[in-house]
Amino acid sequence: MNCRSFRKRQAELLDTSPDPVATADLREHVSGCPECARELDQAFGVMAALRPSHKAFASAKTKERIMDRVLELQSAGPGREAARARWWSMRRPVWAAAAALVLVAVVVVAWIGASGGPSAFGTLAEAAEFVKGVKTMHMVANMRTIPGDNFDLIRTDEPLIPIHIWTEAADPPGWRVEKEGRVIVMDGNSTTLLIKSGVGPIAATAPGSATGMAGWVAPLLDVGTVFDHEREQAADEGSRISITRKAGADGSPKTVLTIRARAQGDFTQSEYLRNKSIWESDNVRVYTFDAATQRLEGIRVYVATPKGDVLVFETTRIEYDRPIPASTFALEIPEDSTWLKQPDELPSVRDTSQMTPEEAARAFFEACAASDWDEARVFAGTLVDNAGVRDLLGGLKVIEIGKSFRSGLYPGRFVPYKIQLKSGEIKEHNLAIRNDNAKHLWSVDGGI
Amino acid sequence: MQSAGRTSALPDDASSDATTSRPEAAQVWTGGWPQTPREFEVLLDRLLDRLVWYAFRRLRDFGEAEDAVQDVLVRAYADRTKRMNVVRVVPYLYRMVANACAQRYRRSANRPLSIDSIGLEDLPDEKNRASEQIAAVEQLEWIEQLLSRLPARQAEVIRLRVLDELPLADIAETIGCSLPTAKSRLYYGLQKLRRTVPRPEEDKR
Repeated sequence: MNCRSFRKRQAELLDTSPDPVATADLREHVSGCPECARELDQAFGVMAALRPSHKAFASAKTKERIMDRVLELQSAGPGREAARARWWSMRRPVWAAAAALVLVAVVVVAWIGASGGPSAFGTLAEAAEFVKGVKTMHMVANMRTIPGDNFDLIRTDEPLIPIHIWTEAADPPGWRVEKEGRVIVMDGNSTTLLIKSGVGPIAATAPGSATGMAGWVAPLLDVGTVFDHEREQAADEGSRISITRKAGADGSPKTVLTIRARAQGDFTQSEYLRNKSIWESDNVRVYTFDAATQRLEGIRVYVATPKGDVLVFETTRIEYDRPIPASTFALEIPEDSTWLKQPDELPSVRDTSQMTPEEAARAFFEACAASDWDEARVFAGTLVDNAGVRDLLGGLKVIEIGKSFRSGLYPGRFVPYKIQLKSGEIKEHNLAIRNDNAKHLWSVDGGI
Repeated sequence: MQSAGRTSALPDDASSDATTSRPEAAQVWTGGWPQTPREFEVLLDRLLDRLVWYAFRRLRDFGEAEDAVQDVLVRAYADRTKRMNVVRVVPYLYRMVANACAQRYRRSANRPLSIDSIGLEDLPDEKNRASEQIAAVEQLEWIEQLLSRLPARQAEVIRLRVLDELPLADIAETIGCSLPTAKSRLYYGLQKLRRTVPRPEEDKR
């Protein structure tokens, strides 16, 4: 081999895994040719100089989001279009918008009696490792919310009501979230929601672990990821993490992680959703760990209101590795339940994508006024199959439909309305309506 | 040699615990197009970070890059039966990501690389996070500045080889040229850069 032939094939030696047999003649040449050896060395040098010392990586939630979609597709069968986020996964979690491990402001406020103690993220990492080894967890908390409504909703003027979370890291895993009027169970194969509403039981199901149904408490279903979420959340403007160590009531050292976060979402058109969820409020989230075991011992969340900070979530008990009855991860659905399907999930539903939100809202109410339930289904899906809903809305009279607006993190729009029910009651509220599905069909999502 | 229609798309070592450092791309995925969630999850473990890194450099925004890659991968699984006969999965996915980025590119063409938009993995000391991130962004800008002096085709081969660590055969397939052409572009591109890139040992002098 001469130098010219070597140069023509030099790139073979620059490949990721050069074939030792195919490049034997190149190696032989370079071992006896200082000029080509120098040139090859320079090429390697340039590549080394260009190789970045750091790279961007996918955030922790990305794989989970993709796999959730894949499991949905799997259950739907090959070839079907990617399913849209369902109505119960109210919104993309705010942390999903944040990059993985982006710049986080860490303020180690005080380490009592410690010099050179563990780093903030070291503490979180250890806590996460501890929780990864947890087989079962039962968390009992109080949340300022409305029974039966979704797990995102908070109402600062409502009383605290109990909420339970059970998780089991078995094969298959299971979890259950429950409060008065609403329960979600993942039994290892699918997730089922049961709403015990005033109009009768309403149910919905999704394949796999549809944690989106659990709203704000979803991250608590895998406590090991809470810290990743909080870390990513802190990347959002206005969020700050601080870590302190203090003595607990029994004198044992506690590590306290505090996140101060600004309200997320768009409130330029309306303040309607401000303080209606933890994410959509200026809030302070306080996590307490046992400093020795890194065990999460408590969570308290406060929301800033004009009247002062209001406690909206507080754990009262967290038990680890206690046996949980198998029946906890099973859910019996009453026979008279209405199984929810959104309009875009129904076969051959009319195309409403060209309507304005106001037109869609009016058409829905007018269908209810005429008790035309086939037409009402076009906008509200199987919700209007529910006898109680029909009884409530049938024969109503539309008084006024206002101009729609956006608020907070809700991906759809709110349409103000004023109707008179057949009972004579005047109802004024905002109809939540969205079209963020593949077909852009309008779908009544709440506010009835 | 791979054959279409194999019973499992998993590479032979899919179930092993690879604890070594990041594998070369040539070994990242040698199976066929994943047909089951399990196979797809293994592919994600092997390729997700790489594809996000590739998309990030094109879009210059981490969130956009993740969204683009997520769209591509979900589509890749949705269309899995159509792609059952694809033999070289890695370059195919890179092409899909490149196309997805091209569709989003107009919005981001003039966007500077952002400190806030770059994610870094496993930094040992959070005290250095800010400075390391700034250094990483500056490094990327420096690399792009150097590569901008080359013909675009040569620069792209160097990016795929050095920044994405792809083997030349995959690079050729990704950019749609022959293997000899990819080799030639790598050789001549590096030749030109010799004059402008300080070698690592020269930095230390």
